[in-house]
Amino acid sequence: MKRGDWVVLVLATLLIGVSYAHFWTGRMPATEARVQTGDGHRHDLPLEHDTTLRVPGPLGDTRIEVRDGRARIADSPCSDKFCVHYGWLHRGGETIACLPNRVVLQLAGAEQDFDAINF
Amino acid sequence: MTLRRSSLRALLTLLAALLLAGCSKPEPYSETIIAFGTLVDVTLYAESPAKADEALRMIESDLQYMHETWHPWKAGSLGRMNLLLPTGGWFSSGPSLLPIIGQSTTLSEQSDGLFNPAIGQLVDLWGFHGEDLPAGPPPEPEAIAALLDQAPRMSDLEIDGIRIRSRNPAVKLDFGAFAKGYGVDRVIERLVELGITDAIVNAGGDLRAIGRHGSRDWRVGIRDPRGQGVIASLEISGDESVFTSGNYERFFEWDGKRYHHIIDPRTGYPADDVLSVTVLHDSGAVADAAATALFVAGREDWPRIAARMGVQAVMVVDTDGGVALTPAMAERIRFESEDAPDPQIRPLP
Repeated sequence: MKRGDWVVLVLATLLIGVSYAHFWTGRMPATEARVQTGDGHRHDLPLEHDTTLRVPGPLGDTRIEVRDGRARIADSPCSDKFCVHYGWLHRGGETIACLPNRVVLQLAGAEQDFDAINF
Repeated sequence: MTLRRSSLRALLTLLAALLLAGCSKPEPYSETIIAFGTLVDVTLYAESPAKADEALRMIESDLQYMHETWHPWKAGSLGRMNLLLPTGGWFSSGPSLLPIIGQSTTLSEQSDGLFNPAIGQLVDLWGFHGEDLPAGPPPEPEAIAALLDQAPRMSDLEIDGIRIRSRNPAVKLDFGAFAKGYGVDRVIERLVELGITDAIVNAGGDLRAIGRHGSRDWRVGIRDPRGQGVIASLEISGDESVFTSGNYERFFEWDGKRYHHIIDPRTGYPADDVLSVTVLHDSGAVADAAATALFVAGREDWPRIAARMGVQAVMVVDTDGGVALTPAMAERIRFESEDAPDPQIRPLP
């Protein structure tokens, strides 16, 4: 084998290794919180930046909080507060919805951890 | 040497082309639809955005139709049936109701009556029939006892062709523990008809998936009933449903006590022995009915009911935080939570 052949062999092996690592492993953590409201507005909040956001709904304002790479519905005007009791979301694909106030909070990343949450 | 260099370049181009070919697989299309009084998340793979949109619109109208038809008390097929059943006389059923009544009757019998869609009056009495949660107080014990005495069950229904009657005036049908599973099955049927082979349909936390998510299986996280976040995950492919009944889904508090929506048809009160039951099964309808029945059965009796209903893969989290798995579920599930207790393996009889 000539030198060129070896170069091809090494490159091919590297490509296989790199693509394996890229496509099959490394579930990336969530990078942003997506907030969707009943009137069709969407707000994307990067998780590395601590913040709070108030979004309006039919019952009043829902307060979304982003802190330490996690997000939650911190306060909601709905009666059952199911969304608030759920607590912090920290993995890609995790979703919590407040149906009465029509607010959906979802964590998303380059690669989502879960396609669906069962409850 | 020139030849070598050009062949090297050709090989590198080929490798890059192969990698790029791997990237050009179809993107999934996702949409959240409000139906069944909940959010229905649909992700599907389609050849084009137009094809995906066609499928999503069709699902949306199917779900809307099912919601209206199966609503226990609003004007619709089931609402009408519930008005006519107490008369005891024969009448014609809405055609779409007979299959759902048939399948739920079979499942109710297999579950020893623990899954019982005939207790609509009991559900009403507790106030769990509406979209808004009841504020309390819990019903009077006498009112509950009076309904239990009448013992409404699915076998009280008599069907002759498209005509139906009830031998028991206390029967009121409420498919709250079944409609989601049955509906998700119909949605998957529709997608398959449209030639879609890879999709996941998540109706307010209960789901069925077909095919795969691109080059990997669908990943499903199961909510931790003991607190926050995800307790475990499942990878599903082919055609499978994951349904959970949990006491945290719908409840009200009165006098410091919590009353949730899964009513034990034997006592008339919320079943209080377990926190959640997760069932993995091909059929959404079976998984939905079984999750409710096993929840009501409680931590001792659930394996017997699971075997009777033909359900193999089950996870039960009891009110002391203990986790029990069937051997079939133990093979599949992966715990995600750091404080997951040692699961107990419960073989089915």
